Amino acid sequence: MSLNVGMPLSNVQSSGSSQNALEMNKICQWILELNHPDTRENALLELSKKREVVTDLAPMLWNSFGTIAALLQEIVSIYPAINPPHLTAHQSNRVCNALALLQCVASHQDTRSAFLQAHIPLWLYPFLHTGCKTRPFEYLRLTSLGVIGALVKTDEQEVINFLLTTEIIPLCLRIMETGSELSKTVATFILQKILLDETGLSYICQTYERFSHVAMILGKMVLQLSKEQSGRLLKHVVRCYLRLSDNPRAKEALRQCLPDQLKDTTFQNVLKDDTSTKRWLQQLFKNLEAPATSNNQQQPSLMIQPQQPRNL
Amino acid sequence: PVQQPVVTQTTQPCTPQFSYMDINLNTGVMPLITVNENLPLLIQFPQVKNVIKPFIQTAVNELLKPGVERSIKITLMTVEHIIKKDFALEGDETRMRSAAQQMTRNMTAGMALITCREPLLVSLVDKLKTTINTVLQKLPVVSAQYISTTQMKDMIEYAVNTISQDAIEACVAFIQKTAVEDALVEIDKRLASEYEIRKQARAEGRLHKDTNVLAYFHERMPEQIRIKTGSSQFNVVYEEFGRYIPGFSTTGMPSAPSVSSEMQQSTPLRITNFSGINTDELCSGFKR
Repeated sequence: MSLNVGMPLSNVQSSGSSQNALEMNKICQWILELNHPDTRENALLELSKKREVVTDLAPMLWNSFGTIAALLQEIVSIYPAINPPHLTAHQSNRVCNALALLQCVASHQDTRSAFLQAHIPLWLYPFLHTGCKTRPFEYLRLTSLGVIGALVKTDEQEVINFLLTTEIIPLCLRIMETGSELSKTVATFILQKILLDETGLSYICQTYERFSHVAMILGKMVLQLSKEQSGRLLKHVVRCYLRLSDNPRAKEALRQCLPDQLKDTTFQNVLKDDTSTKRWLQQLFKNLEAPATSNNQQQPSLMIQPQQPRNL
Repeated sequence: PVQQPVVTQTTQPCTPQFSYMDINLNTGVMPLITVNENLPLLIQFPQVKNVIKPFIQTAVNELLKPGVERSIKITLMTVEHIIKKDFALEGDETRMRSAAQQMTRNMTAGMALITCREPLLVSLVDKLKTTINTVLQKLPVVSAQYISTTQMKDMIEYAVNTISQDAIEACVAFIQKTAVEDALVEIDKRLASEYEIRKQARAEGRLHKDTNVLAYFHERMPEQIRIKTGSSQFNVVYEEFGRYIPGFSTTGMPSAPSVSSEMQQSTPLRITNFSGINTDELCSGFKR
């Protein structure tokens, strides 16, 4: 199982030598084979192996006839196996290969906009909604998260704007609460990327309910992490807290609800060799200590309402 | 006679009970539902039986509008974009429309299935329990004390779970078909101008093609996978959309709207894989 978020596309040129031309012929043949139900499964497998070495695979997938329709067909055809849950390992692997190709389309700058305009990510949300703990479901959730992760990794405003019109935040929060360590990491990474965007940060800090939901889940994660430590997950959690502290109203709330485990020596061991997370944590404390600046006074306190966030 | 309450969880893949043509939107879900009369609760209190079917219809109606709206909204957005893209160089609007309709039918049904099944089952179980309790309390022979005995609670629980499980597929199929029929009308509206451009071009003796798309293909796409102008596309993937509908059995599939402008609603009704249903009642209600 590979986690694709964070892996750069290598820049192997797709044309040039005769060997590459031969390779390109094969790629085209597989793309054509995606159209036919009989040849599709093998083509999905072969193409998903090649998705990181063929630079322009995404526009080829998007612009060839029927390819995206075929990938959507793969997704919808397993919906009946989601609820009641009886997804087999074979079904899961097959649809995950289709998702891997969609991830390629989501990552490429020439196809990303069209991918969003056709609302394709929404077809993956039913998979994120599942709670079944079996391997086929876990793998499906993780791969679906990978597609959304690939979208946010591009730091495009368009992606954040799209995601904010959907229910991705509650879906990620649920996985952050109940998922496997790997799923939690990708879900938290997605939340972090949304927060790092100005629109995303103000969206989450717009109402008390939104902020307190996010703060509550992050708090629970810190508690869980204090029992089962994971450096890479903690890193994203800390980054989320730090970013929240950039919002004046969230900062006020965090002064009261930041979990103690982040302040004491609970994570000393995990943090020992992770200088960037240690730095983020120090910056977070510094932000929280700082008094409200004159800048903040321009914005009337929207979020800190009579009711204060509960201590976690 | 008390039976242990069953855990309402199916882990076996279920074979769809209904074909698309089994579902008649005019008669509602009631004719499709058979209530198991051998349930201990219904043997002891036959009065309860009368409220069950109308109750189920009400539960379906409550979820119908939001479920249908959500499924249609997402599907139309996706289908419109993908069809416009794939058929940009297609001059024949009937081919384009046929593909759009088959994709819309398949994907709307899938989205409605996955969106509505869980909330509907939860709602059925919750509300059926309340309804049955209300009915029982009104019966002169039943005391409030009796209803709250463990034995009675188990019997109600068992009946509620069985009835809900038995009814869920018909209910979801009804919502799915409602969504699909609405979506088919809507996708025609969304693509109307596309169809018109093609008709217009043909009337003027031209072949429609989107020149921007054409230029892109010549610049960027390897020859093999370029969409060719004016040639009849291999439509396999769209035909595949028409071969089955998620959640329905494959018998009695609606026909593709390739030539006639109207959906062929008059296709003979086939009752398949389903027993205990009044065929006459269903068929008589099917004439539109």
